[in-house]
Amino acid sequence: MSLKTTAPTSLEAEFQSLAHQWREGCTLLSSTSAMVAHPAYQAIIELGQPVVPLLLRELEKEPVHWFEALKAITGEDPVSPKDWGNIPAMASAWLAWGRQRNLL
Amino acid sequence: MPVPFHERVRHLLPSLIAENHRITSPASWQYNCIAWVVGKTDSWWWPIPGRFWPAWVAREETLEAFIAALATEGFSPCLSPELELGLEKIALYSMGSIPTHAARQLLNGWWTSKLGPNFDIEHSDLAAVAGGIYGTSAVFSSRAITDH
Repeated sequence: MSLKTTAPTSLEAEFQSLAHQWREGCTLLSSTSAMVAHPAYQAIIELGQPVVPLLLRELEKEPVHWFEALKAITGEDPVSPKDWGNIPAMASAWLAWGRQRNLL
Repeated sequence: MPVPFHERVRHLLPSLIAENHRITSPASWQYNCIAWVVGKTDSWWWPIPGRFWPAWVAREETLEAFIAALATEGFSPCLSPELELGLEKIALYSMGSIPTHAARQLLNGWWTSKLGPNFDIEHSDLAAVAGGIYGTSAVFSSRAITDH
């Protein structure tokens, strides 16, 4: 798998381009491991801390699986193990975490 | 005119054609194929930290662990995917030894699959979603049909 190269004008443009590639790449995947291993997902993680508000904003729009990226970048995990797999609850936990830090 | 779904995913599921499937739900990121085959639409099952996996079943991406996870919902391994009166069957797909997908047999002999975060579909046979990113149907489990 290779990443399409673009000339992003901003972090947000780069993020949106990678996010689009990732969604396309995992459109039929059930495997969370495969989703997280996708090169576009890994590239988003490499964008680091500045991308966290963008991830949270995307999560607010739709509970897409950004949890592993958020965890990898921040080193935190506000999701209780009892909520593992409950995607709306996982999204809520991360959104609350973001609001507490004024990232949303 | 929008491109039909099976044409958009031809590079991923080359055997899916208009005649062998129908879309039966909206897309959803809230559940996946493993949850769907055991009748759940409120959780995403995968054996990694952060996703649901039945307690006491090994969190490992092996067919053995997936068979054990299905067993927690009353399914036991069986030899054939053939339609049998009174039995509900699941087919686990794999690429090599790595599980990739699951489908559940319907009473009419068709199968139902949740395609990752995409739609649920009904497909005429197991081959309809084989041969691409899901690999092949590798093992089968069944349970008696009751009022689950």
